[in-house]
Amino acid sequence: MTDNTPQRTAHRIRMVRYATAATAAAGLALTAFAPTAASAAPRPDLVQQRLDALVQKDGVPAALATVKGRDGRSRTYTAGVGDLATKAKVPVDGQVRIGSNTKSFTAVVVLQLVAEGKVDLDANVDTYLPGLLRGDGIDGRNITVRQLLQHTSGLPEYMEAPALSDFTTIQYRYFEPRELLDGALAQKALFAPGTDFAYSNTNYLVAGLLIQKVTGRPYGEEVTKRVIDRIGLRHTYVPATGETALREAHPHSYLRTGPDAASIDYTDMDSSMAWAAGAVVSTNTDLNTFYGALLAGRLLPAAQLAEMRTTVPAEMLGHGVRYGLGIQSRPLSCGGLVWGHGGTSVAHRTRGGVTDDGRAVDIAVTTVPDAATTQHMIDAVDAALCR
Amino acid sequence: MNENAVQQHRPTLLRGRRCGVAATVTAVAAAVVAGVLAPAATASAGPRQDSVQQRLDALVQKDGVPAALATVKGRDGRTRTYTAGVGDVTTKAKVPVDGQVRIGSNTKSFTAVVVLQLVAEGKIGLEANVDTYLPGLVRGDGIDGRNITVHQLLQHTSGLPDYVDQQAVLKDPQRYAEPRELLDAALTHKAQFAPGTQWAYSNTNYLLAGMIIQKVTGRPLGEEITKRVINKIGLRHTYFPVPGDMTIHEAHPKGYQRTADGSLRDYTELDPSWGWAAGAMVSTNTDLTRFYEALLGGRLLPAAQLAQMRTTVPADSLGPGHRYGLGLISRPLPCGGLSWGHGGGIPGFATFGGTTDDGRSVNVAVTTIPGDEDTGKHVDQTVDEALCR
Repeated sequence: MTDNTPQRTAHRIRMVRYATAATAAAGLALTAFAPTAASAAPRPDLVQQRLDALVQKDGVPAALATVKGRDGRSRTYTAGVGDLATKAKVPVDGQVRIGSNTKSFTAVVVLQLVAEGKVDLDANVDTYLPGLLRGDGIDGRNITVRQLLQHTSGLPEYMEAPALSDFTTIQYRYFEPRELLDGALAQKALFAPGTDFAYSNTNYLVAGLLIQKVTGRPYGEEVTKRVIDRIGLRHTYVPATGETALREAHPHSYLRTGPDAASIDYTDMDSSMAWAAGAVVSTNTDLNTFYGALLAGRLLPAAQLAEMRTTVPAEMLGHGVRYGLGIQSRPLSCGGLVWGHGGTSVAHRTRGGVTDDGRAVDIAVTTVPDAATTQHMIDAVDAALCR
Repeated sequence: MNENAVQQHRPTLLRGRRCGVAATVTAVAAAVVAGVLAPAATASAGPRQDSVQQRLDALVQKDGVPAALATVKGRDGRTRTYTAGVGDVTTKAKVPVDGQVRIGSNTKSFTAVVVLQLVAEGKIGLEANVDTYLPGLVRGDGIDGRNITVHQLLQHTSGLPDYVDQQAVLKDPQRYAEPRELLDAALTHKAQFAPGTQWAYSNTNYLLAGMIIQKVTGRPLGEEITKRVINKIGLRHTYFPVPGDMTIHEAHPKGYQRTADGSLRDYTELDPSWGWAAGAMVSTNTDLTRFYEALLGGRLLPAAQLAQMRTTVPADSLGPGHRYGLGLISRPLPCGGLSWGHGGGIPGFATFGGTTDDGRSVNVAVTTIPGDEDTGKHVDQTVDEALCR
């Protein structure tokens, strides 16, 4: 509510800015951004219209979507350009860095370990990582695995550490997970464990370390074996140590440091800064498949899926949003809930999810947009699922 | 007393030269070894009377190593490769010529080269303390990173306790470990001595050197070693395994260790993450001879840093007359002069060798860490023979 005014103002400013920038280039811009014949059907598709608006009105370089409708058919959409310099087309269902959707993958692995009796959701973190979490108001003996996955641990945010304050200087910087954790533990606890909800990437950083400790194998290997390969996500991977390029066809993505700053091509990057909280690369279609398989019970036994879907209020993530264990629910305008996560990398944002009756949508844009544009993405998800 | 305690705690995995494995691993060894492992005379009993071949054959037939491999560059500048034994004790497959092996602590030479390149670039101060690069990370009983220099890490004069838990590694060789997890393990022990006052081989020194490389370059250790050393001199069969990689990529003999019940356990597939900057790499005898030749030939470091690397302190616990520089060991040859190298032992493989200043070079690999003093001595004699003949 209180967010609305500044968001709208920001949106207006942005629109004005684009209008100005576009005066000279109006014709060119139309040519560049107008949907190609493929999507300029006589009766414009609702989803295509939304993506076009994200590009033309909100100014994202590219928007991509995959929608699985009530008819069970999947359709892919693109808008904008795949490369601001060359104006290349956006690859259909191109790869994107899916950011915090990674948390769903991480949570699934932890919950599989719970099902196997190797992890107890209500055991404390020290059971698996003795002595690791200590700090001002922080004690791993008082934080449960469940609290990590549900963001109720009160652990401070490692992304707030000084070393991560300027993305322009760390595009190719490799961080060890424990180095990131050091940055979190230098801050004080947000609240006593279990007393509140606060989204913190540190929870999933610790979950990744826990997976490694319990399995004795690298995080990426466990996610690959237990999730990606299991349901055949052929365009999804956890980047290897030091890997900076995207493996398959993808749009370029851009970091905008301010309203008037130039866009920095941030397509290539060392995603170690995100690790178990956000490093996975995927496509809209693979993400739909993943969340569909998850809700259909193909990744977790019923008991653990029920734990995952047991939510707490998470209004800071949006009106009516609730957070389970690495999954979010959001009410739909047509009734029912959409289950997913969404994610933000340095230069991507994705929004989407699936319904219990099998509809699915995922939308990606190739920069981190402002709140108003993000709301347009969420509205587009709603429109795609409710049409 | 103290010295004894230190000796007992000193792990024998990832050692420089003297590679004896703990008694538990080898107690049953000698007699059984001869019977089980002695290959049929076939593979190695050719007409050739080469002295190195004879020594390798003896290592297999008398000392019972499954396989022995060598590359020798002699006084004539020609390089020869040798094999003896079997590459697989089950199938009796031949040993691949110049097959890949895990080189264990030879990795320390690669790590030291990268640190010294960064010193040459002004990015690391050799006499700066560890806290300059890893603030607050190294603290423990008698341990303080503010009092330990980079130089002391590379020379093993830091007094840092070793992190390697030999029994844990032998029991569960496919366990992945993060570098910081290894450091945690080291810091649960107390310091061996005050920094700079003694010499004691400790893998923790190189663990920290690897972490400093990552901190200073902002890139993973494996990438820096690949770019700055492996690719720079074109070592085509050498690599730093990526996290989680348990295989050996190219043709290789299998590596074994004898278990308490006397049987051989195959350790070929192993997660070398616990070795990391101190011992994770894979290479061949030929690539290793080329590496040490390039290093001593000044092709990897400026003269000043190479001189620092070659400035040694006594390290007699590695063997009589042995001295330790910065990731480099010197050893006197019976024919005079010194051999420069490192050597390494990791479950399944032990490598020995070195290079002389006039360009002779040898590297010998055996596919088990020798379990007794005699075998180790015989490998040393093979190295001596190759360099002195």
